[in-house]
Amino acid sequence: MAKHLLNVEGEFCPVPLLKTEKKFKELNIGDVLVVETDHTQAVRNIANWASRAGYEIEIDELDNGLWQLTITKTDA
Amino acid sequence: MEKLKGTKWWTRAWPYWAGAMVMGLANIALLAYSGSPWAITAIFSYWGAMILQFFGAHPENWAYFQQPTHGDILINLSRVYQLTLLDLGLVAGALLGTLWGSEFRLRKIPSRKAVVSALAGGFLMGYGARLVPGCNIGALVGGIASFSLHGWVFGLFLLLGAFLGTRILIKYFV
Repeated sequence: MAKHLLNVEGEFCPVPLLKTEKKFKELNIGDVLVVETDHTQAVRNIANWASRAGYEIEIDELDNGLWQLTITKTDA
Repeated sequence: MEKLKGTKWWTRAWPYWAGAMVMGLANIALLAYSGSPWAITAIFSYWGAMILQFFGAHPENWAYFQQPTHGDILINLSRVYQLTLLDLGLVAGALLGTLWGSEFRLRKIPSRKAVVSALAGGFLMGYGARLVPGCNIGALVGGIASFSLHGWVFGLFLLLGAFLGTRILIKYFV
């Protein structure tokens, strides 16, 4: 149940999604990955990727143009 | 996507087809109004030429400006104003979009590597767009929308370039 943080502020598509996927591979089932991004399109494609893969994702807007995505690695 | 951003249509992420339709309609309106489809990068070469002319150089003798479409523009400035206005409108529209969506933010620059690669990428894209000539908009959108084969050829090589670019990106930036 470890919690990992990935900050991709300032990175543009497709780097945030690719980094998220790469980091996610290192996680164990039940682990949580928290991604922080300031790129609108990254929120969208990471959310699409997570829901397609069947992972739980929660999106919080921390500030104008800054989002925190919390993705749980489920046994999907 | 509902939980992504509020419930107002201008803050929500639009489906791609809706954005494409609005862009297409705006392009038709622009073509009907001005007689030319949307173009973004051509103006940079004219600005560059005008700056060089100001300092006494003669870019009008270069092969690029010997082509009628480019050469005429340095003489007839109304097209320069039109294209400049279009680019200013692009930046203003993007700014309004982020303000309306409450997404305005001064983005962090992640690293020196990002600065160098952004400048190099910008140079290559700009140079390439002038060789083709045209960018995603002038060559791809304008080309395909006007039933010209060059739009499809451009699109094919754009995909190839994006494929190669992604390989490089994964190797050095992820």
